Amino acid sequence: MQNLRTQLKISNQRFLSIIFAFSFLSFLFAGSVSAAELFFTADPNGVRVDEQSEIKLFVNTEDEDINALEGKIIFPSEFLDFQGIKDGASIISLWLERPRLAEAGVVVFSGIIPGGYNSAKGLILSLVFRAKEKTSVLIKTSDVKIFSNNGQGNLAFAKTPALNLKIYSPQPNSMVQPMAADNYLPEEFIPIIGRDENIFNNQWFLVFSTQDKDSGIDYYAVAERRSPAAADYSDLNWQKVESPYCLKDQALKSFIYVRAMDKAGNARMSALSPTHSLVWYEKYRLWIIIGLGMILAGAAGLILKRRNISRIN
Amino acid sequence: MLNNKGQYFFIGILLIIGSLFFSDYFFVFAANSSQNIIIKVIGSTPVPTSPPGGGGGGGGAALLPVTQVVFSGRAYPGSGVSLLKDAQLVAKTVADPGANFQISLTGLSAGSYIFSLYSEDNSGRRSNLFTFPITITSGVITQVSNIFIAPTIDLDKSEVKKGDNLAIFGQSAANAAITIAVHSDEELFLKVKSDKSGAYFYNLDTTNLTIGQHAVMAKAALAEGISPFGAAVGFSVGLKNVEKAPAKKGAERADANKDGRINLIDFSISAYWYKRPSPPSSIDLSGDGKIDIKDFSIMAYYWTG
Repeated sequence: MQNLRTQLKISNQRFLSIIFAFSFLSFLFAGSVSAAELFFTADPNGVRVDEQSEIKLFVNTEDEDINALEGKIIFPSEFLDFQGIKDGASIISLWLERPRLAEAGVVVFSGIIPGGYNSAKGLILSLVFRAKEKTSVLIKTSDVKIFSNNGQGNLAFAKTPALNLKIYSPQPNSMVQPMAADNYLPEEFIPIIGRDENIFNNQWFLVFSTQDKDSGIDYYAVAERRSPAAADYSDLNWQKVESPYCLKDQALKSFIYVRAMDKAGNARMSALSPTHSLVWYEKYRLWIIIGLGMILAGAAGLILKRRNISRIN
Repeated sequence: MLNNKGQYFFIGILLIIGSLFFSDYFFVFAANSSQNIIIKVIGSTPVPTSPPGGGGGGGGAALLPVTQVVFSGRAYPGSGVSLLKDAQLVAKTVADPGANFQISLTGLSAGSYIFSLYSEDNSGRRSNLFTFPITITSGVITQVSNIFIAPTIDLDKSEVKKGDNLAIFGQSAANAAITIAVHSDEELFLKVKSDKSGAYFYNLDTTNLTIGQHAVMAKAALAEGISPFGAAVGFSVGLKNVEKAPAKKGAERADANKDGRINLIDFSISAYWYKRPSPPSSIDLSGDGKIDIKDFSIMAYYWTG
């Protein structure tokens, strides 16, 4: 036993030595350590003044399994006029922060790939610009974090080379290629109702997510309506929301409509029937019928009363 | 000038002729080097659809090409196999007694997708997510074959007294050659064969293992292919034997609403607290007092869809 304890002690000392040596060697040879890389690509024909062009951000995982990444893209807004972001073909399945222009010249993004991803060229997003003048600009990333798919939340080493983008003079008499139109709806999806003590004070909420493989999802909107079901969706009281959304009708007696709109204006609709049906006194149609019935009965009573009076007279 | 019926008949004939020329011949093979899967793109088989407008009497059905992805491979005999598309569960099936499974998916738009598959063995142990990206082309059938889901693996002890035996067990396809890798100072590769039910068992003598932390993982091989290595399970060699708890602590913690699944609901619960102050400790997977991308990375690892 004593021998084992000594062995344990030696093992711990050796473990610390290995960690120290590994850290030292990692520091010395940091450049040679395998690392995931975020890199940009631009149109190989070059970018020209007044032309719209896409700069794509890719990840090369260098044979490592990764499952989450975030960062910022920095570009000189004085030379590049930001036109938009395309994330429809992204490898990111769920965005924590959908790519957006946070401030002039800064785009932020954050998302995960459940199950992990391992490839040499996975598209994260595309930035659409219009170059303002002939020059050379630097597009770079900052605050990049890439996580290994190991259940520990460990950061992977990240290489983030900048892109030196040359902007050329406009080509005389050039035909400007228009961006391809997105005529496809976002993917079909089914919203899910849930409740949990950790959010919305344990009230019922709705979660939803879908993809648009072309221009990407722009926003979601939700409408709730009690019976009857909507015949015309444009009549509904739509509200732009994000998932999770706290339901207004906590009795779950409403039809729930969720609309996913892509950046080209194509909408995919998904509807959920009420979880609980209305009790008889909650059905306003029934009250209309009862009201009409009472009016008719009253009218009939009045007519009969007048007839009786006229007979007596 | 063709009337409606004539137009649909004409389009139908064109599509049939097109399919005769291309369906059997137009295909592309691609092998995924990291996971040995085979991706094959075949010219689509057109499916008949009713002409728009309806009610005009029979005949004249248009033939439209179908966009479909067919996944096939091996899991464990009689095991449930789940398919995720961009992190959402879209189909489930049960593998046959030979561990073979096939899942077809239609109604997809053209574009890039991340598909994941996992299986659950007869003891409820879940395999790693087997994930791969595919670009789908509209109007074609994409066949993804030769998928081989990694074996499940478990241990009877979380700590084993040096010199005692450690039981390593799990499930794969029937009669598969299982390789168990023991990560130690000197890496060990143990060989065992799974039985008819796909179950395997190896009693590891720990006499030659050093005191400290170790991990095991397994892969399977059949004549038809080799699976990737599955998840690593850790154990320590020390002074006493400690029975291993059956539940996966990490997976349980990632399941925010405790419904046995880690999916969009759990993601949304955590997303609600993303960068907000004072999140509930039950959803703070990294235990650092905040919900940030690190917590979502942990959740993504245990994802079930």
